[in-house]
Amino acid sequence: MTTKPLLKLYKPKIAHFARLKNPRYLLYTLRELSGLFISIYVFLFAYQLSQLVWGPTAYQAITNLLQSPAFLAFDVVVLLFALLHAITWIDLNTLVIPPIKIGKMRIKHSMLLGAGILLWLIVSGVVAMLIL
Amino acid sequence: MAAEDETRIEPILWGLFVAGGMIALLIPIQILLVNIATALGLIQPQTFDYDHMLNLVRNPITKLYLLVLICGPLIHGMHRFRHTLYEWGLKGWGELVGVFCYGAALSGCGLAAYVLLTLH
Repeated sequence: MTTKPLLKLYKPKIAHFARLKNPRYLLYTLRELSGLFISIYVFLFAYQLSQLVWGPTAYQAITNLLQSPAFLAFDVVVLLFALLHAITWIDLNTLVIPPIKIGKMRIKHSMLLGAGILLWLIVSGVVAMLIL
Repeated sequence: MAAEDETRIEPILWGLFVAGGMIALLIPIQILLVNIATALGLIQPQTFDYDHMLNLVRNPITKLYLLVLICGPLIHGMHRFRHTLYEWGLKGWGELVGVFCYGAALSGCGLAAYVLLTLH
């Protein structure tokens, strides 16, 4: 009497984090993660604003907490992620628009990227002036 | 969620994602001014104290600005994070991931809307 060999289903090993070894994929992953850090920051900002409803003491308490060294370090990390998001987002937008020609001159991608970053800096400056 | 419903909702989510990505361009200046410069003492502390913030938030234009500033990046970020989690192998938990990500985004937007509507 022969026994049937036991069959084992093949389960492929998926290396979900293998991409992190490749610098291009690492940058891609960091860019994707920027959304999470920005979301956490915005959520905290919404919570800080919500304390305005409860009066000066509550608002000052959360403001003092958010200005502590630990949160300052967190803010620096979020700022770096937000800058990565901003530059890669502008870069992506200049890539998806169709080629632009002025006369015989074709506008290069680097020029579009530079113009996009300049426009972003101008808008940021205007917002800063309005806030201050 | 039925596949047909998902097909209908996805373009709207991607549209909000793009809009939120644009609005998120304002986050660096927001962090620099409101958080980092204030904490380091580069801006006078009374710039963002209770009375000044209350006056700012009572302005209808500021209300709209803050609502857009909070909701846009929040929806953008959570939509992006949802797809990151899918790529990290959680696609099988799609509905749970979706509920977590969009639930967080909606709760943040709801909180902001409630605060801005409450403060007159």
